[in-house]
Amino acid sequence: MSYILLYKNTLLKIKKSLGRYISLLIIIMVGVGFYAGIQMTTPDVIKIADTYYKEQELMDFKIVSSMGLTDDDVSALKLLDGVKDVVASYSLDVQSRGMVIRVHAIEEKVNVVKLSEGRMPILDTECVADNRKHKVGDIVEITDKDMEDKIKNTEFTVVGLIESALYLAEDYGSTTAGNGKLSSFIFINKDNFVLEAYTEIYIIAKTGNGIAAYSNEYKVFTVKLDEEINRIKSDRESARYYEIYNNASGIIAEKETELNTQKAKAEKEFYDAKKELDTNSKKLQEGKKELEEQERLITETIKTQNEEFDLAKQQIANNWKEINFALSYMGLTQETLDLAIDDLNSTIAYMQMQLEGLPVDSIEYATISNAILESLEQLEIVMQLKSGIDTLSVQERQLDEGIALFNTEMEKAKKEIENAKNEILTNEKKLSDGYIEYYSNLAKFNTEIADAKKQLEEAKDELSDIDQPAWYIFNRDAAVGYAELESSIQIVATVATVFPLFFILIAMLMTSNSMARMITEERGELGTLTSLGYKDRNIVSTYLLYVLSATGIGAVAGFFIGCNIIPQVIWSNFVFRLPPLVLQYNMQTFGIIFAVTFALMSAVTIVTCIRELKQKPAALLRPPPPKHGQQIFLEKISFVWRRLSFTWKVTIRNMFRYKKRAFMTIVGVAGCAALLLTAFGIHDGISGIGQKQYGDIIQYDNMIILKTETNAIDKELKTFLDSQQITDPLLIRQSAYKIEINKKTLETYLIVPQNNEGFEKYFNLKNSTTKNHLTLNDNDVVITQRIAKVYKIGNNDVITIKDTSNNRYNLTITGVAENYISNYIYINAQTYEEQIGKQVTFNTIVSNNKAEDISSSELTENFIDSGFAINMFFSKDGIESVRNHLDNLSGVIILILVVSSILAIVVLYNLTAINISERTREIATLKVLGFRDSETNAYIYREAIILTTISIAIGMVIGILLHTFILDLIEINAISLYKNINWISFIMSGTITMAISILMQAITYFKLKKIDMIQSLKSVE
Amino acid sequence: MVPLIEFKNIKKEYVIGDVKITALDNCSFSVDKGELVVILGPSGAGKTTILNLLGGMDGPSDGQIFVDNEKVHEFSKRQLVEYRRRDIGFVFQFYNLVGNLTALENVELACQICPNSFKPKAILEQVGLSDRIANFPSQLSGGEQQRVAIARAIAKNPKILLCDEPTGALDSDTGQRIISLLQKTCKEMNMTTVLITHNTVIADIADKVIKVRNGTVKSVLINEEPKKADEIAW
Ligand SMILES: Nc1ncnc2c1ncn2[C@@H]1O[C@H](COP(=O)(O)OP(=O)(O)O)[C@@H](O)[C@H]1O
Ligand SMILES: [Mg+2]
Repeated sequence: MSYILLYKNTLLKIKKSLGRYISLLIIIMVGVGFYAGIQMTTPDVIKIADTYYKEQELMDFKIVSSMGLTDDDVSALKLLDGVKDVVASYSLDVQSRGMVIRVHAIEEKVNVVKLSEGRMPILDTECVADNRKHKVGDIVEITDKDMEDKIKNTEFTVVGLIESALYLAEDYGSTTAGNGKLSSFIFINKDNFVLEAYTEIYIIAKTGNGIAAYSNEYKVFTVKLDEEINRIKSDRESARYYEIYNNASGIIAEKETELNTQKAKAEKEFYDAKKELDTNSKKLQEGKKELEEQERLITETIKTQNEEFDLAKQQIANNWKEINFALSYMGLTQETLDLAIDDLNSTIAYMQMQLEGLPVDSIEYATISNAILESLEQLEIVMQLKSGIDTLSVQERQLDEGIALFNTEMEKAKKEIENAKNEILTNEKKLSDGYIEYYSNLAKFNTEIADAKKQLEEAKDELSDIDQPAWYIFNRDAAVGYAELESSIQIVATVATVFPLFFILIAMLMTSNSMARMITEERGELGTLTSLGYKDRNIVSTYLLYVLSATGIGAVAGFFIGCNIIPQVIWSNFVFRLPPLVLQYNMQTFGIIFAVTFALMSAVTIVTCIRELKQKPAALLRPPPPKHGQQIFLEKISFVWRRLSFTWKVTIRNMFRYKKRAFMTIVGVAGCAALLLTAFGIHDGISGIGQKQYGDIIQYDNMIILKTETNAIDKELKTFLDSQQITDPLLIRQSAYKIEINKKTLETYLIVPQNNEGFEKYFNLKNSTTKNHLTLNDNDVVITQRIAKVYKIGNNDVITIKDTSNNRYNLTITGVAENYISNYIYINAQTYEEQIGKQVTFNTIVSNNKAEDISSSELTENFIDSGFAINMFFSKDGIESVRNHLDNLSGVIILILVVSSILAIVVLYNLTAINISERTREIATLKVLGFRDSETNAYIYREAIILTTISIAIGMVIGILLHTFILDLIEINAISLYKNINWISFIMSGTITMAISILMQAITYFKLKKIDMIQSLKSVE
Repeated sequence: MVPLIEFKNIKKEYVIGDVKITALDNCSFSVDKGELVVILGPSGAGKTTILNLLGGMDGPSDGQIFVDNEKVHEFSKRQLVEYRRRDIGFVFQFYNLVGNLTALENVELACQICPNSFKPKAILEQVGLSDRIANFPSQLSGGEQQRVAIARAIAKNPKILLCDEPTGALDSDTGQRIISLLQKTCKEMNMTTVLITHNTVIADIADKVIKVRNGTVKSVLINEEPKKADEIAW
């Protein structure tokens, strides 16, 4: 027997029931398309991201140290297992025209930039810059002061525009400079940096090309490497500490010795100077004494001499008196003496002459001789007098001369003494000047020494104050947007695992129903064919041909359309700086989908056919046994039933009678409503978390990250806070810890508030399920919900947290709090001290902010400038940034909405078609009875509306469950979303479903109008 | 007296693709108020077509139909619906009850759209089904189902009751009872009844017998003394 006719018949059938064929095809197409498309989205996105990361050599780890990094660090890191390359590099956050930009060193082996325009820098005064904010030819100027010891140039000409894998998001991340927000970036030649140590080290892991970013393998690998790095962390920190310490203490020692030698030398000099001064002073004293002695001697000499002179003068005067007396006795004066002598001599001479003529014995002689003798005697006396006068005169003259000489001598001596005195005076002046100078110099020297000593002491103090350097190890999350992309991908992946399954389930049900319906409708033909002797499998194969051709076309079309459109739609809403999406068509996935769909559809067809074919051909040729009308349960409650209007009774009874159809409607429509609600709910969950986190849970306006840890807000800080209109500041300790259970790591912050009142004010902790308020008493450990969810832990379980130095602490959970962004563990100070074993110090202030006239960025800048804070975060910015981040997912939401709507349309179209075809006779009867079109329609339509309403209600319940289920998965995989669905979402999903239902009803209306009474009632066919 | 129904030169053509089938051609007859008319003819003669036109389920290709002085042939679709609703009660060969409604509800279904309808329960009592009103069609025999159908038709208080081979699917006994019921209703309620059959025996009970062949009226026979339905032999 030739089967060609049989298959030709199939083709005819397709042509005849094109609507049904197409709806079958569309269901499969949409189902497969949605499934394949959403399945491929994650690999597609990961592929481009991973390719980009590999091409740009995105670092796997970035290490930053509070004290800089050295070549020794590089060498140490290079020795680690799993490290492929280690690159030490520089970056600086600097101010440029009021914005903070990050200046990176160009590297060839890591974080390679992607040039989109222009060229790479040749000169050190050139740079390549972020292509969003700069143009080639722009000048980038660093406006910070005192950059000499950091960077050579402060002005750079943009010669090329770039993209960098370090900046994957629209924003640039935060900084501890300026207003706390990074606004752009540039890359410059490494030579420009003149810093004493590297600012960062990049590590490229030996992951190889086989391990893709975001994959589990990648995570496992990097977690291990992270441990490795952490293992050497403290050694390297100490090494750096000692390097800095030794360096500094060496300098201090050197300075100290220098100071000491200089001091000694100076002291020696001072000593000598003093000694000389003292000697001079002594000499001067001696000279003075001597001088005084001399003066005294002279005075004495003058005195004795004058006495002697007086005596001599007296004697001479006496002598003169005697002489003068003698003279006057002789009647002479000194003036007449010589005359007297001459007279005497002449007298004598005369007498002698007279004598000579006289005889010797003459009286005359004798008289003359006597006269001569007498005269001689007289002469002698006079002569004697004369000689006395002469002698006396000589004596007197001699005396006078002596006195004069003496006086001159004495004058001279006195003069000399006077001169000596003057000299001594000058010397004394000089000496005292010398002393003054000496003492002032000494004083100066002493202060200088004291200063130098103080400086040294200070330096020594500083030395002991040198902080232990701290390494901060970042993974790729340090690339802005890397983690966001991951959580977005995770959410899509989660949705991808759940949604399409649900969808395919509905699609399969619908298809099987519509196939069963078709076969039932064609039972007459089946009967004819069997009675003609066609074997069951021949007949089944015609249906298989029908179904599988639709399945095949639908699956192929769906796969390629889905893989093409869906990733693009989702991707178009991802705002990441990544290369364009490269579509992949994974043939393995295709094969599986194709095989599964084929198998399922074949199974559905074969099962349905065989069920029908089991009947004898004769039975097949008869109409299907009429459906039995029966009382329904509700009729038993007669007081309700009686109250129902007639049409209501019919409607309700119909619904119960056509259970399968009602069931299918409910499955389809409820499924659609559930999907819509879930999609809207996820959207709510996304848009709600910002508000929930920063509006509801977190009650503070801002968070100030302090520069130095403190025990209390000191006066200075308080004054500053007041000046910035910061109110009710609460100190908290916020420190990063890791939770690690079963290889699953979760980053968490440990929050320790200074006091409970403040904590109550700013942290509105609520139990994640009961929403009861949670307090933080001694020994309380409150974790946030995602931690509980991920590790499936709760109250009284013990959680182990690990600090950055790998110290482990066990905490017993006493509460699980609602939370959406990040993970937190809250304990109070007492618990902290008990469990962590350290006195708690605070590093953060949370507070409210009264000032309205000052912008967030200004306030941040004030705080950073003040030196109190390194950055500041605002709750209201948090809401915004969460919203921006999660906008990425609107594509997925829209997709689910669209696909669910298509599903709803196809399902309802199918059901409507079935409904009408099953009830043509009934409708024709109504028409004959004179039912108006609207009444006929209402008869069917009420049923549809009620079914839709019920379906929507059920859909809402399923939706809530599905939503919870998906959100739980998302919570485990990516992020906590707000679990409450907004009432608008209920209304929206209900309305959309209802609208589709009503649209389908409109189509039904026209179909009903077309029903030909005469044809339908002719006979039973 | 003006007849209640007047069929004047009716022509009805069906066009299926390129083929034109003339179901009725130049078909004329009239029915007076309260008359029980039997249309008799072989299969394919055009009886059902006549009834369909009369029942306002379809319009003629040509000719005029007057019912109670109204030009039914000129009626729009909407007017036809109102006409069916108000003036026509229809009984089918295969009953066409709504399977999901009880006997009473099937009657109510019709009543609720007609303003001057009878009480459904009373009518069902009249057709002898007062104890089966809560039963679904599937729980009723063919004859009972047809009675429900008749009750549904007459409950509307139509001007004309149209029955298309109401006994066609029934055994003769049951059929006879149905015919009897129809005759009784017609006479008691003075309801103009047009009944199609190819069973010549039934013609005896009619006031007027219209014989149709090949789409045209062959003869119109007035039965001066119609037999009682119980009297006829099947
Ligand atoms: N809807 C229709 N389309 C085409 N032909 C029809 C239609 N209804 C009736 N006919 C044709 O009109 C003729 C009369 O049919 P009908 O009135 O049903 O005959 P009867 O009821 O006397 O057996 C038949 O030849 C039939 O094939
Ligand atoms: Mg007929």
